[in-house]
Amino acid sequence: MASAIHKLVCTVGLVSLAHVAYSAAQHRTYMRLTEQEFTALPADVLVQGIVSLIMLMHSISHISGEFKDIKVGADLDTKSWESVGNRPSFYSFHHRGKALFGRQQVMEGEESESSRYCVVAPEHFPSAESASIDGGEEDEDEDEDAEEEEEEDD
Amino acid sequence: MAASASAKTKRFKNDNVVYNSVAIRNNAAVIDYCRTSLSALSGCTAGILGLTGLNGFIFYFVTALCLSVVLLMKGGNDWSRYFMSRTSLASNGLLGGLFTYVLFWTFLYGMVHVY
Repeated sequence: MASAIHKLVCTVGLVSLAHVAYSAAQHRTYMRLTEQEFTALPADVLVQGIVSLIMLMHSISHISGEFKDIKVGADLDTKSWESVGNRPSFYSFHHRGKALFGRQQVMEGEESESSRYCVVAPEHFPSAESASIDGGEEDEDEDEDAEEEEEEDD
Repeated sequence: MAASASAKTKRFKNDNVVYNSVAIRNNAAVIDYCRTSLSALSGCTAGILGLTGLNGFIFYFVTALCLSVVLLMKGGNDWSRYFMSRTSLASNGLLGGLFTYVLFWTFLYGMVHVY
């Protein structure tokens, strides 16, 4: 957001500098037409030129980008070992969790969500009940799991 | 003998900082960007204001000094995190920018004051 302000300042400075150039050319033409000797530009044009240069200097020093830390480990200092030493290729899901939590539950959120659905569906929706006849055993397992879940909640 | 050994270890300690060359190059590029664009713009300003001769060169060095001050302010108190020496921050590309300056100075002087 600050960069947008600096870009705006830079644009204003460039337009102002172009305006100064136009003013100087006009003044030069006026001097030539009135047959006066050109000595120096009027003070307001000089001041506007220098002020716009200062504006440009300030804005460009911000637009040019941030300095980076030249020490090698600078960006690693803030990170913990867990994020630096993370190796996704060595993840293993073949562990005791499978035996402990059954085959369908992987995440806690998914587990509660699916078991609640299975408790509600056969009682309130007859179509769902007829559909669940095919895999009766699985549904029983899920119901048991759901009951366990409810007991834990109580 | 012992003195030289301690001096050696001391020197080793000082040299034992590993620098990130990508970051160093990035910082040099930032400085170069500022120098080049400010050379061009101060050349434009000098040409528009109608400076001639020695005045124009003095104007360049004054604006370059101002830019050095602005860059030192940008570096701040912890400039040693970004640069190995402070003089390189202040005076890098000073004479290289002079040619860009003269190019834009003469061009804008010709556009505004001659034609």
